[in-house]
Amino acid sequence: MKHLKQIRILPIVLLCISAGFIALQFFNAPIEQRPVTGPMKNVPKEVTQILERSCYGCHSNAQNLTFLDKLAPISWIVNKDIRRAREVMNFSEWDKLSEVEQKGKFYAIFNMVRAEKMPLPSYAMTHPGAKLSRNEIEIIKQFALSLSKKDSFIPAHMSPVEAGPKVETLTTAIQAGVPVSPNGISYNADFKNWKVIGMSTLIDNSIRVIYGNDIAVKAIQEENFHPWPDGSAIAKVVFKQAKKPNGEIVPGDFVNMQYMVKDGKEYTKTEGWGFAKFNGQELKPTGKTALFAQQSCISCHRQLAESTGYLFNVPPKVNSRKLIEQYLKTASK
Amino acid sequence: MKKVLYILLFGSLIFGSCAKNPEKETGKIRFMFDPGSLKFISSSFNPNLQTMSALYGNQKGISALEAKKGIIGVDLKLVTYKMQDDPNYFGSKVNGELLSVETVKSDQMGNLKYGIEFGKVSSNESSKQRISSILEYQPLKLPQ
Ligand code: HEC
Ligand code: HEC
Repeated sequence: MKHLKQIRILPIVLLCISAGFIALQFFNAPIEQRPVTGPMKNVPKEVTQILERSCYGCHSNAQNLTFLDKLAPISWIVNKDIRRAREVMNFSEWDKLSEVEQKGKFYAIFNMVRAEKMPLPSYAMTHPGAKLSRNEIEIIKQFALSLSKKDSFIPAHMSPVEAGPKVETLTTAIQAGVPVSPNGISYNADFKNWKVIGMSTLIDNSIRVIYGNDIAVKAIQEENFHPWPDGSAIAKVVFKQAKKPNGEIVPGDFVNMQYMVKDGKEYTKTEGWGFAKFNGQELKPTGKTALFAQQSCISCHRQLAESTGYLFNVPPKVNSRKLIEQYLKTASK
Repeated sequence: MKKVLYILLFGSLIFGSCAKNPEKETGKIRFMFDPGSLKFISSSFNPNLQTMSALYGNQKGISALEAKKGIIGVDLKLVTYKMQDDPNYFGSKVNGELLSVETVKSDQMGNLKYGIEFGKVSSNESSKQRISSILEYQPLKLPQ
């Protein structure tokens, strides 16, 4: 009796599934087509060929979708990925980026492929041809490196004291009020009293200092990154490089300041981190709308710094416990 | 319908997180320098020695940097680390292993005294040269 019922149910279930599947296709809006307005220039063919094969499927206006890609519900995911991919980087609208930004993108590109985060693993699985070989990753690396070779020398600054306009002349610029990022995060001068949690320098001629507030410092000490506690705040200050008379490189002119502020309920689209960036002496906020963090900040942090809760500058585990404990004992005397 | 989507998305997440984790377990520990009452003054890196340093000091220490000579009450600390690649981002260099903590303090006469609180100093400068190298730092210039 029971058996009979099952046999009758099976075809009905199958029928329902296929009917549902066909019905799905009516909710299958194709990805909007856009023209190629500013293709990449001055990029060697061996590099563009790799990108075209493996990345253009999402990061361009020239998709070459397979039949499967166009079938709902797969198409929903594919289209969502394409929209998201174009939002963060579009090789067909490459001219919208400044030369410096293009260079930065190539470092991001190399880092993404090195970490096997791009092409997205789900895509690589269904498009085996999109995977990059070791040799191809090396080609991208060499090209990224060649971009900074031209200016990797340190500008022959005067002494750092003379390296920029005097601070006194700048106070008028921001008297109008505290600058606020479009997502509501305001410039917080209090970071100067936070602890320095790290220092960094990029090949592209900058030197950075990273501060963390008490909550963030405690989270690092307790290895409490998944997720970081609400209220954690990180400030990164970016300077141009200047040279000390003895040849050491020190922070010169102020370039910009960036914040990451943790609030798991508020910043749900960006892994609970609120991003803000303030540029130049006037501390001009980055972004026209609150969407800027989603569009131009979170990708790298999400894809490449996941193991430390989307924050890069957590001090690396490289110190001998014994030596540090010994030092802390003598220092506290 | 959304559920199917979520299952698929979730599936890809699980696959995605199988990728290798650059944060290896090394048995080593993280270290953040605790300056106590001293303030962060500036940082530097040395391309030849491949080191990175942070200078901390009290108010008198900051005044000594401006005066470029000893005054009473100076307390400066230069903390130096190995410079290393950012484990997560090629192209970025960060401070790695702690190498040394040097101190510059003044005596009752305002003469500057040099000391090493931790480790070995990579530079082969004399104590006197170290003091003047440290006095060459200037506080960060932040927007006011
Ligand atoms: C299946 C579609 C897809 C393919 C194919 C793909 N990407 Fe992506 N890419 C994305 C999505 C989606 C994001 C946003 C990820 C996020 O926010 O976490 C992204 C983000 C990025 C970013 C971050 C950009 C930024 O500045 O924020 C880089 C760089 C990148 N991809 C490089 C590549 C490279 C290089 C390839 C080819 C080797 C590639 N991608 C292939 C979908 C794709
Ligand atoms: C191309 C990849 C990429 C993008 C896009 C990006 N970041 Fe980062 N971010 C990094 C890397 C790499 C570091 C660590 C190196 C350093 O100190 O600069 C970092 C560090 C930071 C830090 C210090 C905390 C930490 O994670 O180490 C802050 C704050 C920050 N970024 C804010 C932002 C903001 C705001 C935006 C958007 C306007 C942004 N980032 C976009 C790669 C990126």
